[in-house]
Amino acid sequence: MKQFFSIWCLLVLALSAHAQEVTLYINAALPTIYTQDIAAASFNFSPTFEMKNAIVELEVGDEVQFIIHNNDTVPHTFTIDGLLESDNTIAPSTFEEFSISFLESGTHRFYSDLAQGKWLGASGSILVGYTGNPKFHWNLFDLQTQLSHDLQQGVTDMIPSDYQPEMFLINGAFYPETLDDEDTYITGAVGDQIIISIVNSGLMDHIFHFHGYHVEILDAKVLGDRVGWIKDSIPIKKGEAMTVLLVPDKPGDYPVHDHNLIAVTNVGFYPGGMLTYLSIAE
Amino acid sequence: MMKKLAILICLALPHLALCQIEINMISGMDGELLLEDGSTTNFWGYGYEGPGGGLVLPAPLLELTVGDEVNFNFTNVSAEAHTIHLHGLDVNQANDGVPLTSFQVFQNQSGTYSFTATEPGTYLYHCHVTTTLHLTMGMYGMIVVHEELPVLFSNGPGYSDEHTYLFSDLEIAVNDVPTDAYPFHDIDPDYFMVNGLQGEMIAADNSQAIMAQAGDSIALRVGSMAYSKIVMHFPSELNAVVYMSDGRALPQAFAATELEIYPGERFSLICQPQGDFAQAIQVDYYDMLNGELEHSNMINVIDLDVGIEETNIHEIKNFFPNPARDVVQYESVYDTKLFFYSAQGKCVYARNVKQGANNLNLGLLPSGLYLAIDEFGKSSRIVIEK
Repeated sequence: MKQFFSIWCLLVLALSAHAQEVTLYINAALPTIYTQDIAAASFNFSPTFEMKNAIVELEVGDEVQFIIHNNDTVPHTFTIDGLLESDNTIAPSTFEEFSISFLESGTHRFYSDLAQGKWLGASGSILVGYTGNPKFHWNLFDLQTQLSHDLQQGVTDMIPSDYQPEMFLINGAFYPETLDDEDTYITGAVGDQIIISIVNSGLMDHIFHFHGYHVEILDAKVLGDRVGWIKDSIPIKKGEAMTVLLVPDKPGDYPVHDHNLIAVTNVGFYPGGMLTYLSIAE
Repeated sequence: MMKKLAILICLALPHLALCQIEINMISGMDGELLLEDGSTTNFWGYGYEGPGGGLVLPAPLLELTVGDEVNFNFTNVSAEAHTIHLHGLDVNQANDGVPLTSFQVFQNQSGTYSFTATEPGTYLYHCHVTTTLHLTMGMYGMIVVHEELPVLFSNGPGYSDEHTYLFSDLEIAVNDVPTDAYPFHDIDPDYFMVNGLQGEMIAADNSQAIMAQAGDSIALRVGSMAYSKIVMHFPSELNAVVYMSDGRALPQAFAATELEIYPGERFSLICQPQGDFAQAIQVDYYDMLNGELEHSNMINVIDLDVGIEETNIHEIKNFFPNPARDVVQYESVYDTKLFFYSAQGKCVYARNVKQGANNLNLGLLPSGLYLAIDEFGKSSRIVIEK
């Protein structure tokens, strides 16, 4: 009976799995964020640079053919911790293809594992599964303007011990612009089973505090020993890829923010940075 | 303290005790914090109204019981607006303490935050106006929601004693001159506290020490309002087990010799000391930006079972004679104050001693074993026999 059930599960998985093709472009630019002229790199769905990295939603069992174009002038990698960590370099102005199967639900981070990639922001997210749930995505990134230029110009490939970021972003935006992004500003209703996929692409740990509600950690690549914990203040460590479940029990508008409070600022001004809101209807 | 000042109206029902609790506090910006080196800096904070009240850092510990219906009233006597955010209590929007979505209390005005304590556990409260500045200035405190019985949560582990530790830090230059605090992203703490105390000040305050006997179940409620990452190091002999975080039972309790606490997180633990557990819990503060260790504090752990013959040579020679009937000679290596604790852990006597020989008349103490602790945490045993 158990064997029959296992075969049945595999059959269902095989039938529901899809072959997908996802094309991404690694773009580099010198954008202005708030008052800061920075150097940045990003994974985008088009050859045009956007500060917000690509967000890929998949179903469990999907087999994905990634086509990665490197539009930058330096090499990059396409790295997914635990799934693609070698033979993944893409030379400038070329493209490479990578085939990966996603057999479990959860959040992954893909990034260019080179200083001029990940530390300039080239880091996106993949959410597998949770079909039918409302889904939101937070990609956290912190940056120091001068360091971004030093990295981009090859002056350094190290993070200095006196690293002092002055911008703190969710999906490439700072508060209050976080409220203009539909992946960042969470809307829902009482009783919804809201999935929030969180990756930390930044150079430091962050900790997110939910006002009004607790959430359950469903999966986590770095803090995997905390799966199943129900919390209101959740460390999102460097390189983390985590999924949490929010089931609102009451209506209301509540902030969610980094509780490392230097990170709720824009170039030192409060409020700003890693701050967004939940808006829950009856 | 809170229970003394709060007005309790309890309705005894057959299976449920509903308490209406009124908490009355002030918020202010003229606190003066004594630092370890004897200097002072400014702090902003909360405190109880009336005689014996006033601003304290951290703000008063609030102890509630599941089912309590609370009105948290506060009057702002300072120039800037303030709020009270009930961190982790999942209150409704109107009482959340965020200026944009709730309300703020301006100078010489009063406000009330109302909520019901529904879940046992460890929580925090703090101002949410210009939070980056108002927190580092000291506007925070801890809330513990107890079960009716001394257990962490329904069907959870019990305990016979309880300690709360709120970790925080500040940058002295910011607290000295808050108007120079901008830019807020480079607030860089250089003073690191356990319940508002640093270094030797912790050892000098006997209420901060954990005093236990082998086999006791001691609950620890810990939380952080720091800008640093906290790491607690527990001696393995304490047998520390983490049962709760952020006011919720963990799916699986776990034994801990090391526990990371990020800003805003809370944990509830049970320690069941065995063997030679008379050591200290080390509390490390790490820079959130570069991961470097900034400071360490120590919380003393004192074994009430340690017999006189087991204490170290320096300590057992402090008292002569020992056992004693009334007058004893105490040899001290420095000027300090001695606190005498009964076997029940109650402080029954205290007096100042000078460096060198001191004659102490302990004739008023009943027969029994006493633990004497000085302001630097050094302990000695004295037996009184009548």
